[in-house]
Amino acid sequence: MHDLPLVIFTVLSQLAIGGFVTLWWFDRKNKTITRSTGLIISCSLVVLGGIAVLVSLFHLGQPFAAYRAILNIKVSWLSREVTFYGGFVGLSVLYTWFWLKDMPARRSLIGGIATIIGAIAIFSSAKIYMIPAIPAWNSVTTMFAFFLTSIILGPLFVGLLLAFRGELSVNISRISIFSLIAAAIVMILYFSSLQSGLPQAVEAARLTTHHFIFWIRLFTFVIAFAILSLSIKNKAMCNAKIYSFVFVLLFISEFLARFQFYETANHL
Amino acid sequence: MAKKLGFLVNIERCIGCHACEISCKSFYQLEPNMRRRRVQELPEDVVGTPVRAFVSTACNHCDDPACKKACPVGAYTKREDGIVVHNQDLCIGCQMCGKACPYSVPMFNPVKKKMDKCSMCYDRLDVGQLPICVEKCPLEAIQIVDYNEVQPANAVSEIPTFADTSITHPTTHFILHKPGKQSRRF
Ligand code: SF4
Ligand code: SF4
Repeated sequence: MHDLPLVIFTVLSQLAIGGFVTLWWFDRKNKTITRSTGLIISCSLVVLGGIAVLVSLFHLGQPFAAYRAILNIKVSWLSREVTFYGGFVGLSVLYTWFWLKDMPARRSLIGGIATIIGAIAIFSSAKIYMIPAIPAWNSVTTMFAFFLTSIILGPLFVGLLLAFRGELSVNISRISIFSLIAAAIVMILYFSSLQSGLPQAVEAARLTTHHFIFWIRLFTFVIAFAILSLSIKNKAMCNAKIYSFVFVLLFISEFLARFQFYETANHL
Repeated sequence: MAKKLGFLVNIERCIGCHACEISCKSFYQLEPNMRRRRVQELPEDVVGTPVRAFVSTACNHCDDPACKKACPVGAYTKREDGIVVHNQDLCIGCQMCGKACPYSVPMFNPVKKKMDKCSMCYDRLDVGQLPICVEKCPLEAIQIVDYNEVQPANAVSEIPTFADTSITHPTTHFILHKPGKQSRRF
């Protein structure tokens, strides 16, 4: 429970980055998103990103000194995460401003820069946890899991808002199914690497799978996967209601997975 | 050449009295449940033949400190003499150093809401005094050694229960019981 602010921060920040990249990409490629819709989506992503920052402060003993966390950027991945994520939030505010002013060229440029900064922020975030002192975290699956949270939740969030506004022109189900297949593979890799790892990693796998939270995580994941699979070929299912339901399922699934990631981290 | 100060813990001498742990806790007025040094009982078969053995550990003032690399504010410095110092004034209490240290050395002070760890009493060493744990051990089981000057005979860097030393290269060394020999008790 003590790491709950970090669970919320990592999931929300990855959702905000994934959503942002999706909006930027759709806007660049299709140019069909209206100003008001773009503004609504962009604003909601800024709000989510801001909430993530606020919640992360609750993890600190000295939240008012949080600004100092950028001081050790030369060596500390946490410092890099704070710097790049802070940069991402700043740029996403600027991007929203360019939606407000309806300036597509500037929006596209700032969006591109924010995409790169956001990706570096997720990379830095994963690197924080890839430490030998906690064998269950010290694997490339941590990196994959962090990026996949972004790829699973971000496009779906943007997709459901576009569907609500009647402007969805991309098959979101297809994108989401691919990310869920990748997530399933990473999940298998994660548990097999834990089982073949140090005793603390084996114990982390046992603690994870012997808890009902794991089964809720798996159940929500499978149901979401089934619904998305059905919706790929069935246009009538690609609507705001279905995407909202699937998004809630996958949000719960990712949230619980991240919760267990922190809760089962056994130290050497 | 710069110094490389580290603890030398003589397990053969230690009787598990906790004097080092408690004198340190008392000297630094640490909160309940906080320790900068810990005494633990070792597995009975630590040297092959059965022995009752204890080990006293604190920060290992590692050559490649993971705490220092993890800290986002740069609160850790490694002095010329090898001591790894934590600056509480800079600390923001993110507890990342505690996660990154393979020995779980940095502890969260719930009152100050900052981390805390052994400083090898560098301010005492600087004025020619011994660290509190070294001074108070009745068996003289803890010493400070400059490992760039001396490599004590029979000293080992790895013992059971001690995390993989290849991660941070701790400077602490240990002297174990000689197998098959009754340990001397004062
Ligand atoms: S033992 Fe832990 S706290 Fe001490 S120097 Fe090594 S890594 Fe840092
Ligand atoms: S708790 Fe303090 S010393 Fe430890 S990593 Fe965070 S800021 Fe640095």
